[in-house]
Parts: sequence; C-alpha cells; structure tokens
Amino acid sequence: MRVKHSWFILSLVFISILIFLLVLPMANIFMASFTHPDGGFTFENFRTIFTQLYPYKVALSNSFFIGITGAILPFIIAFPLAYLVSRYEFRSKTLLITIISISMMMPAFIGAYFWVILLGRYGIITGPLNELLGTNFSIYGKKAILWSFMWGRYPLVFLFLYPAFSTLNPEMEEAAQTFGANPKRTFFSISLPMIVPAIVNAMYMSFIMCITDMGTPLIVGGGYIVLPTLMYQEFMTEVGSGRIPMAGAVGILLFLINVAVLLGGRYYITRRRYESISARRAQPKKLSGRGESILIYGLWTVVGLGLLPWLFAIPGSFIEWGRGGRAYWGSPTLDNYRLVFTNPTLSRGVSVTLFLTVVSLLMMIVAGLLIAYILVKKRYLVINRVLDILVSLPLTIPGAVLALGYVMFFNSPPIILTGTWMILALCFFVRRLPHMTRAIESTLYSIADAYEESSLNLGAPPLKTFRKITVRMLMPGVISGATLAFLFTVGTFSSTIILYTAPWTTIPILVYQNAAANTGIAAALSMVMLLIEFIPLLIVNKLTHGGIKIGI
Amino acid sequence: MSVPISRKAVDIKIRNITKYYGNTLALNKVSLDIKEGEFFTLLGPSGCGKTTTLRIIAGLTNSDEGQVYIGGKMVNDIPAWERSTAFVFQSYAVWPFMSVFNNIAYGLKLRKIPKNQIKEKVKKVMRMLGLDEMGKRRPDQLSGGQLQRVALARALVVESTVLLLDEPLSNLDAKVRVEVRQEIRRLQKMLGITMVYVTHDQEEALVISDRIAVMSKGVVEQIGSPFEIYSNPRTSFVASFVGITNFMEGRISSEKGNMATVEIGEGLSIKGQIDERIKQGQDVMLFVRPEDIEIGTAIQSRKSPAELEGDISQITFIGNMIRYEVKILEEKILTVEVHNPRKYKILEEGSRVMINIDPRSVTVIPR
Repeated sequence: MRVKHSWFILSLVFISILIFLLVLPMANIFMASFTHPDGGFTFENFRTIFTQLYPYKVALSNSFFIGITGAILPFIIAFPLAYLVSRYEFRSKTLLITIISISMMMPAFIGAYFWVILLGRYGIITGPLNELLGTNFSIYGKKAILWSFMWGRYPLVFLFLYPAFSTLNPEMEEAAQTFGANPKRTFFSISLPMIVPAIVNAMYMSFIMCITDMGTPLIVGGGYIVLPTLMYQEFMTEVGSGRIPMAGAVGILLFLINVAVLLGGRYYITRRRYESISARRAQPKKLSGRGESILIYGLWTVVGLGLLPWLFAIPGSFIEWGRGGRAYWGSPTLDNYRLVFTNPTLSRGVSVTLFLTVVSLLMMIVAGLLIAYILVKKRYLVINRVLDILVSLPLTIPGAVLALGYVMFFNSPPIILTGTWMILALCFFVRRLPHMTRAIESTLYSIADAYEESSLNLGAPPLKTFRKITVRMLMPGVISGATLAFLFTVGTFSSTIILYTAPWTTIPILVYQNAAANTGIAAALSMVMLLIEFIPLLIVNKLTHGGIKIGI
Repeated sequence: MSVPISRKAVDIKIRNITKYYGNTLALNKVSLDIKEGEFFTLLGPSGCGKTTTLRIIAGLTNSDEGQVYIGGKMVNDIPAWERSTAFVFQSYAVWPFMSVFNNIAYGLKLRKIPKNQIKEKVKKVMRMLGLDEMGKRRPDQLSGGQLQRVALARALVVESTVLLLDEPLSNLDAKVRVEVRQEIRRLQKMLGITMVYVTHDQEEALVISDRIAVMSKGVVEQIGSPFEIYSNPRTSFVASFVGITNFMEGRISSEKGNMATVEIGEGLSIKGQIDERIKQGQDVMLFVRPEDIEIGTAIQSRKSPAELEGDISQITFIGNMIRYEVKILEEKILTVEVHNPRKYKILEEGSRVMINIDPRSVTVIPR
C-alpha cells in the first residue's frame, strides 16, 4: 500500500512542478495580453496587432511569409535528394545520410550568420565577385533568412521524405505501370500522392521551426521584423514597466499559431496513415561506373553546399577579420581562440554554457525516468492523462514565448528567479523534457514486466527495484534522449536571449553579440560550441558502437 | 502512349528464360506455352521462381536470357506500361488515397476513354464483383476480401488480353478464399481471357486451372492438366508436392507398352504405368496414393490377384476414413486409406493383410 502511495504522490509532485513551470507562466502572459497599461481588462493589445500596420501587421504577414516559404523552399533540395537516395544504391550512401542527419542538428542562426559572411555584400564569395563585376549582390535581410531557412531545414525535410520514399510499397507503382502508366505518370499519379502525409508532416514541422525562430531574423534579418523579434523588441522597451502587455499579446498570438498548425498537422496525419500488408520493399537500384559517379558527385555537391558556411567557418576562425566581415586570409592567427579562453566574459560564457546544460540535463534525466515510468507502468486514470499532456506541452510553446512567461512569472513573489542561473536551467529543463521522456518511454515499452517482478520477488523493494533494475535497462533510452536534449540545449538561443543576464551569458548569445563587430571571435565561439556539441556525440557513438539513433 | 483495347485472348510463349538475383539462379531455362483463353497456373513452393516468371511476363522484372512472346509478338524490349497485361498483386496494391471508383477507373482514364463510358464500365465491373455502392469508399474502409475484389475489378475493367494474378488469395481467410476463387474462375470462363495464376496451394491450383506448371528451384518440373498432375506426377518433387506419401524404389524387370513390372526387393514386385523415359533394367521410383490401395484379409474383388502381403503396424481412425500403416518389407511401410470405413470390416493391428494395387494408379519414374 505504501509503495502505491509513493508513486502516486510522486506523480502529483510532477504535475505540480509542470503546472508551475509551464501553465502558470503561460497563464501569466495570457492575462498580461488582456491587461490595459493602467491595469484593467482590454482587447486593445490584440486590436492593435491586427489593425496597426507597422510594426504589428507587417510582422504578422512577414511571419506567415517566411513560415510558408520556409516550409516550401527546403523541398527544392530535400525532395530530389530523398528520391535519389532512396531509389539508388551507391558507395558512401550511409555516410551521406549520416552527414545530412548531423547537419540537422547545427544551430540554425549560426548557419545563417555564416551564410551572410559568405554571401553578404563583402562576403567571402560575393565580395570579390561584386568588385569584379561592379555589382552589388548581397544576401541580407529577408533574402538571407529565406536562404538560410532553405539550407537549414532541408535535412529535417529529408529525414521525413527519405523513409517515406524507401518504405513505399513498390507494388503500388508497379500496379499503375501494368495499367499503362509510364514512369513519369506513375510518379505523379501514384508515388507522389502516396507520400503526401510525409510531405505535410515535414511542411508543418518546418513551418513551426521557421516561424518561431528568433536567432536567424535577429542576426541576419537586418530589421526584417517577424513575430518573435517583434515580441523581443516590445519586451526590451517594456521591460522596465513591470508588466509586459504588448509583448505578451504578440507571444500569445505566436503560441496560438503554433498550436493551430501543430494540431492541424497532427489531425491530418492521423487521418491518412497508409499502411499496407506487403512486406516487400523497393530494392534500391545498384549503380556502377559512370552513373554512380555522376550521382555521387551530384549528391555530395548539394550536401556540401549545405555545409559550406561551416566549411568556411573552420578556417575563418583562424584568421583576422576586418569590419563588416572582411576576411584577411593572408593573416592566420590563433588570437580568436586565445581570446575565447582568456577574455573573462568569453571564457565564462563557455563554462556557463556547460554548467547550465549539464544541470538541466541531470534534471531532465531524473524527471524523465520517473515520469516515463509513471506513464507506462502506472494506471492512474486522470493523473496519467494530465501528466501526459503536461509533458507534451513544451513542444507547442515557442522558446521565446515561454521565456517571456518566465520573466513575468518569476519576477514577483512567491518565487523570484529573474537574473539567476536557475531561471535559465529550469527553462532549458522543461523545454527538452518531452524529448527525454518520450525516448525513455519508448524503451520502457519494450521491457517486460517480468524483469521487475523477479527482482521484487527476490525481495528488493519497489523503489530499489526501480533504481537497480529498471533504470539500468533504460540506459539506451536515456542516452538517446539525453543526446538529443543536449544538442538542442547547447545551441538554444530564442529563450536565452530573453532570460539571460550578464553573469549568465551563454555561447550562442556571445556569438550574437560579436557577430557584427568581431567575426573572428564569433567564428571561434561557434567552433567551440560545435566541439562541445559533437565531441560528446562521438563519444556516445563510440561507446554504443553507433547504436544510438538520434531522431526527432 | 496508346494502350490497345481488345477483348481477343492471346497466347503467351516463354522461351528459355533465365534469371539471376545476384549469384542465385532464380529461373533456369524456363519455357512455357500458354494457350489463348487458358487458365494457366504456376504452382510451387515459395522461392521456386513462379512469381518471378509472372513478373517477367508483365515486364516488371527483366530476364537475363530468353524471350517472352505475347500474342506472337516478342515483348522483351517493351516496357511494362506498354504491354497491356493487367496484374493482380498479392498485397492487392489498392491505392489507399483513391476511392474504390477511382482505383478501378485508373486504367480506363489512362486509355483516354470518355467519362460517361468510364462510369458505365466501372459500374458494370463493380456489379459483376459484388462491389455495388462501394464506389465512394476509401480502401481503409474495406475488408480483405473486398480489397481483393477491387484489385480484381481494376484489372478486369481494362479488358487486357492477359490477366496475371500473383497469389491473389493468400491473404484471405479460408471461406472467402473459396468464394473469390470460384468467382475468378467464373469470370475467366465468361470473358474468355488468358489468365496466368500463381499459387503455392496445390488444392487451389487443381480446382481452378485448365493446366498447371509445377515449378521447383527455378525449373519447370511438369506441365499438365490438374488430373495429369494429380494422378501421374512425372518427378518425385511433383509427387510429394501434390501430396503422395507412398513411394518405393525398385528396378524394372519387364516392360510392355506403357506398363511395367517393378521389383521392389525380397522378390516382391508391383505393376505400374511408365512413360517413354523408362527402359528395361532401369532403377526407378514408384508412387501410389494411399486411397488407391485396396486392403483386406482376403482380397474379394478385382480380376488381378493380390500382389503383396503385409502386417498392419498402426491404425488411425479419422471419421470419414481409416488409415492403416502396413509393413510390406523390412524397411517399407505403406500408408493405406480406406474411405467410408463403416462399409468395411475394420482390420486389427498386427493382423496379416492382402494388398492390391491397380497398376493404373501406380506411377513409375526414373530414379
């Protein structure tokens, strides 16, 4: 009896924590958005957004524009790539897919920054060309946002389309052919409609990522205003006033768009899930000789283009830079790195990032294990349902909006956390908790009850059994969840930019601060950040013999 | 692209088709002559090459060697979409995003047939297959049997000269399978089209076909009518595949016309049917079905005298029949089945019995 109680109480504790960390801050923004500057209830804030052209209506339409274009553009790259990779067998195929999956984890706003370094007015590529041709070509502002969204999101789209193409029952296509459809007709009338669910899935995920992205428009947008940056601006101007109604209204709007698209997408997907009883899968065609070479060169060129900003950032972090992103290739130097590790602000940034990531990760592991266990093994009717919804909730809240909620909610009693490291750690923790919990949950489903029962049977009390048996068997789930959460947390920008205070500045913020004036330092910081992200990934991969899958 | 529409049945000739999958030989010089309007079945265990043969006829798989002729025309270089062979898949391959109507109408739309005619034809085939009123349904709202009928309707409506069916019934439960099987046969007769049918189920093949080709390991073992395949298997593989359990080894002691006497050891011999492959003195194998063996304490009937004697070693009562295991040689036990056993006296275990085998039911093949 007592045992039952301990799990029951624990689930209530988690529900309270999540209400505290998610529901109350969001409720706070919600209330604020309906609050008059003088204190009363009002629709005025929302009316302003929908009636006043600048900046509100502009930001709204800009957001939809980059959201929709950002959902479509990546298909230009991902679609042919996924189709070809699924249809043909060639050397280096596995490596290609691995590289694409890894580039999905690259922080988007840093990629955008390096694209501008390459293709901006004085860009490494465009600068000399402009000089030579007397042109004025440059990607900056809207163009830069869309360009980097295209390259930044194509790996995500690819990872939706590729499995869809390769699991397509080939008999669906063959049937069309026996009725007289040539390959082109077969593709458009059968194959394409068959993968529509994956296309929609990729589109709405990409839309949400683009519309909630704050770092990219802030760093390369050049004043191109979208909802997250608008919210940030409002927040910065109102922050002194105590309540933040206008920023709150923009945040709530962004949140609602997010939820609507997410629910709409999910609803569509669950309605069209095509399953077939065929076990047969298409055999990718083996290529050899010229055909194979052409394909390999073609595919790697495209994937290589996507990595171009990173490929330039590596040598770029070892040279001197002039103002406006002029590269002096002739003056190699280690100064950028020396500064990162000796300058007190910069070096503190590195340790702060590590510290916050590790702390939030530890919290995630503990909470993720316990919550996943309750969700899978316990049968509390209402409690399980509520807990399940609460755990998924962070996926629907844009980071910047949640951060705004934190600033408002934790700025006054009962708990004041603004300006501390805890507010950052808690925000990081709760935002990636869903990834951790779901990863552990899926491992937990595959563990037979018998393992635990035999331990109980041998006399180990339930919590000890949980510690000694269940947790150990769950290690694969924990590692895969932790890897994903780690990668996300290190590069997180949109929530940090709102929550941080000077002593608790993270690397992404430092990159942003140095982006305009100190390209060399920004490049070196980015490299350090990538190392922090990928060295653990490599170690985990080695330890598990490549057995850890990083999925979405 | 034009797809010919014709109701005229055509013949299919396959000549020396060879196919490798990597290093595995999937088909080894397979040749078949399928007559126009015939229901022809490829029968064999999984991996025997029957589906590959079917796919090569449709143009979905290319052969490494050999030729395929459809209606007298060599089609090796004609792609699947210009061959006008309709194909019914084991997985049905009913397109999940299209309504039943659109699934069936797909082939007609490709043939640029006017809309009202398409409607008419689809309606007609749906009625024929008991799919009335299901046109608007989505495939995920249909049962397996209904899906199979949609796949069939889709293939029939285009009025192809050749209809190819790859284990179309294997995913259905027993009762529906018999139903759809009869339907397929009825439609084939009614429409007079050439059908090539792939199955691993010997009963299905026997019931449904005009002729059967039994395949094993990429080779055609025997081609013949269901009756021939059943009663005169020409290889030991065919014999065991169509369910013959009694087989004996021996040597031809004398032969005359299509009859021969086979010594099976210890001075015993059995008469059986032979074909042109069998010569005097040859080592052979002989088969006889359990139900073709007469058994009794004293053989009452038939003109021929009892050839063998044996001891009953085991008796199994199975209701409508009784099964005896009779030991005729030190190393040889024959299985004998007596149908409707209540008409006869039930024999006892250990008792000495006489055995009589009609030579016409004994098949002799070279060893």
